[in-house]
Amino acid sequence: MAQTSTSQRHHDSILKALVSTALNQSKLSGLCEILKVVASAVNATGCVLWKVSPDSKLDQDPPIGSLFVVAHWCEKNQIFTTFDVPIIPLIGVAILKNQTINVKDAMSEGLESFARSGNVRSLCLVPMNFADATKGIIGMFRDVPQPFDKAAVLEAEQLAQLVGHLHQVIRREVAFRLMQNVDHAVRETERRCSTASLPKDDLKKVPQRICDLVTETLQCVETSIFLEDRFDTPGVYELMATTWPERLKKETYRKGENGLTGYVLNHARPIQIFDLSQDINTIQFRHPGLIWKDSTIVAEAARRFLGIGAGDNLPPLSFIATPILQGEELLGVIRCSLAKGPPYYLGSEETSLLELVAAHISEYWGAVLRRRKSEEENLAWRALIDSIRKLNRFVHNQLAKEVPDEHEIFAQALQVTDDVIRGAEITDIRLLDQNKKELYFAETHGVAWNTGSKGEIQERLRRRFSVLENPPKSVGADVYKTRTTCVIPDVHDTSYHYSETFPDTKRIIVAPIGVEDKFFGVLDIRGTGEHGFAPHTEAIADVLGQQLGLYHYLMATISQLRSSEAEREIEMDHQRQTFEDLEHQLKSPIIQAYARVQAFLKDIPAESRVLRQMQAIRGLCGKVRRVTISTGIFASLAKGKPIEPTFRSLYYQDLIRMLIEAAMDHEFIVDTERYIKFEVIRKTFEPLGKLEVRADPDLLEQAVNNVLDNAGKYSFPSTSVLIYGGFTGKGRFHISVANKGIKIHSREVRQCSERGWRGEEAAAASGDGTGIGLWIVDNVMKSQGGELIIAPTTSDGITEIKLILPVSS
Amino acid sequence: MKILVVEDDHLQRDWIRQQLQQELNAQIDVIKTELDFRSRLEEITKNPPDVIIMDIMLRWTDPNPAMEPQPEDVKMEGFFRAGLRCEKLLASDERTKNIPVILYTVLANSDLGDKIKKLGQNIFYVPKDSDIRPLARWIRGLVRRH
Repeated sequence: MAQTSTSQRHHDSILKALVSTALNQSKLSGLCEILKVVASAVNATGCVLWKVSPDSKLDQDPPIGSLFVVAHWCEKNQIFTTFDVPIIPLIGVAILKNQTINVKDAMSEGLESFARSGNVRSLCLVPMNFADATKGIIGMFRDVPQPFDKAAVLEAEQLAQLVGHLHQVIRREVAFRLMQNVDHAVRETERRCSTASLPKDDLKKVPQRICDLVTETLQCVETSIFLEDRFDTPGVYELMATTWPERLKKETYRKGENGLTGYVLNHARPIQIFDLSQDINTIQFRHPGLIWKDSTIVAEAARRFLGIGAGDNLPPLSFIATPILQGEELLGVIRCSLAKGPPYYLGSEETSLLELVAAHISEYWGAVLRRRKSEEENLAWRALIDSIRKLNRFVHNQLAKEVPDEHEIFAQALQVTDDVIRGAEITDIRLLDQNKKELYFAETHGVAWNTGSKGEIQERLRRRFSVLENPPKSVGADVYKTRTTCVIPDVHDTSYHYSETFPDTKRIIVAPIGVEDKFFGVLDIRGTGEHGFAPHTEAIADVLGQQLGLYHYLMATISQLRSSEAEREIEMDHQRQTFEDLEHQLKSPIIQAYARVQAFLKDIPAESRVLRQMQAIRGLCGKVRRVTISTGIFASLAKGKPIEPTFRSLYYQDLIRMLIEAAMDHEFIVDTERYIKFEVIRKTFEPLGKLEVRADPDLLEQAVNNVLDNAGKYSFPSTSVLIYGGFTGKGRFHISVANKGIKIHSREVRQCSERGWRGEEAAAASGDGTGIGLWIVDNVMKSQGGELIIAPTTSDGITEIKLILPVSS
Repeated sequence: MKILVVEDDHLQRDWIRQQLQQELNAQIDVIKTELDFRSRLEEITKNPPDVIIMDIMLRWTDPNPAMEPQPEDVKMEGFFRAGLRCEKLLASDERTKNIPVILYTVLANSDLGDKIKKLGQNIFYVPKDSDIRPLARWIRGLVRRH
């Protein structure tokens, strides 16, 4: 009883040691420590855990296959030179019948090779099951010919049942730690560059860290990661990191290639090869479609890296690889090869682990690509904005030209398209014809347009595309119908016929050219290279199409405006002619009326009431005559036609007579209730003597009367308007009009003679006129070689206007 | 019969006054500018005329050393439609809104466009003419009707 209790305590302590050992392991090789505990429990000098190879056939007679070392422990740290043992009938039976075999002399039971390599004398083979239901055997041995007794065998059998589970515990722990470390490596990078893209060398640091972790965990020679940098080298899966001790023979892969990595890329599914040196037909049977034949290089490398001599056995040349996927999108491949420690092969469990690692890499690389995409988009949009700014300047300069050239604008726009859309090699603008039936080539860009003979090029450019078919036969017609941008990533997938124009076309984007609901045509963008269009290209094409639509609309509107302007010019000319005609019709009778009244007045006695009436009538006629002449002058000046004076010599008497008559006329037409007097100061004209003033009497009279008209209109009540003359400088004589009324400020002097200008107070006191009086006077005086001088109102309220004329002897 | 003539041109004003006195034997009062009209609005409401003859193009005021500045609306629109502004002032007061107003102007009906269509029922358009009799006939008719 006491013995049983001691034995039980011994067993319990072994169990405790097993569990605590298992929980402390962080590598797969930690299983060796478990075996150490097991070996110690049965007083063995060594212990080996074998697993039945996947291709073994135990139920055949004799059984076929081998046992591969999963883990081993030897008291004397022997290194086993054999990694597998054949499944001899003895072992086959033990596994099949789940029976322990106590081999008294290992050297005589067909296990010589193993026995020699480990100095094994007595051996106890205990069948066990792994957690994945694979069969295995634990071999406990001694280096002395001392067979295991019943108690030891019983202990070994009990412990063997635990080893499978503990193996699973270690694997889970190892997997968990690996995932934790991989996750840490990824998160650390994410934290460091949450927004900006890393340089390519830095980008490789995370995959390299992952490769190191996987290599260490799986105890393999190589872990390599291949990833596609779809922005720099799309379609190429480039080696991002590896633990292969030498430079890899092949560092890039593409889809469609042969080989183990090529197989994973082509099929986007994992591959797991237990031993590459086994019969190729067996490998191909398990992996249909795999084309691979050269295991020699791998075997040579295995010998080099594992330090195994030419005559010694090699461990299985294991290879596992798994795709790195994001949804259905293939981002790359991670692969591992050549196990260099126990277990000496890479199996399904390792493959599952690799799949978990691949998921983390996918997360990491997906984030990198998203950042790159976002940067790429930002760059493209910025480039677009810059280009559109330049394009707008170009269009602005074109529109400033008398005849803007829309082809120049289109050519520039296609150049911009080429610049901002990567992979846009063949571009063109097709416009809708006037009948809105067909699209024709308005502008083309790209080398492809100019390839071929002259005839072929012309033929190509002459092509037209009907937009009226239903269903549309061309993408242009489709866009015309839908008014939305159409993207064709692969022309082979559409029913449209592209090969006719450019056989090399691989992808197309067609954007409508229009503004709001107006459709003018399409912008056609084609790519022939391996590079696909970036996802944002559609939006950019859309913007360019709208921009082109705007330009086209602007051009059409400006052309329309210019033609209306020309029509308006013609209309204006017609109006000017009408003015001239009306002036002519008005002027002749009013001059006659004025002349007859003038003649009649001479015969009327001074005291007669009729005289006053007639003087008033003359004043009115004079006003009408001035307005009529002003209309004519206005029409001429508006037309750009200069005033053509008819010069005459005017002497003192002529001037005095003209001025007195004008003064009298104005006195009669000014509101009598305002008591404005007009006074000619004769003596100021006397210095003129016999000198003559060269002027057009009608124009001078017009100028004088316009000035008097203003003076009468703007004088304060009960004031006088003075008319006087005199020399001003050499050879110049002035006729001046001074009055006291609404002021002309010095700041207004310049504006007074501008067309249509009126001071605020003048406007308030005026019930007619449009502000052209002094403008006409200025022009009239200049036409006679004279001048109009307006002096600002003095401090005592006097405003003076001078009409200056040249004098000759 | 009391007639108020709003006319800034003294030649026309005197002539209209003389002619209407002869034709209608009426008591005729005259206003010369838009400012005068506004100043006398209160007086008009208290003692309304039978008819107002209103010119359309009116100056704001006669020149004088202490000129009253133009209000913003007058500054903006100028003298061209001053008569219509005066009419609006009449229309805005219950006491004067029904006084018959004859727009007596050299402007053609079509020149006034929509503006004249929007005016009240008591506003009439008569073109200026050298013959005063058409205007006199209108005044007689309006006085009879009211």
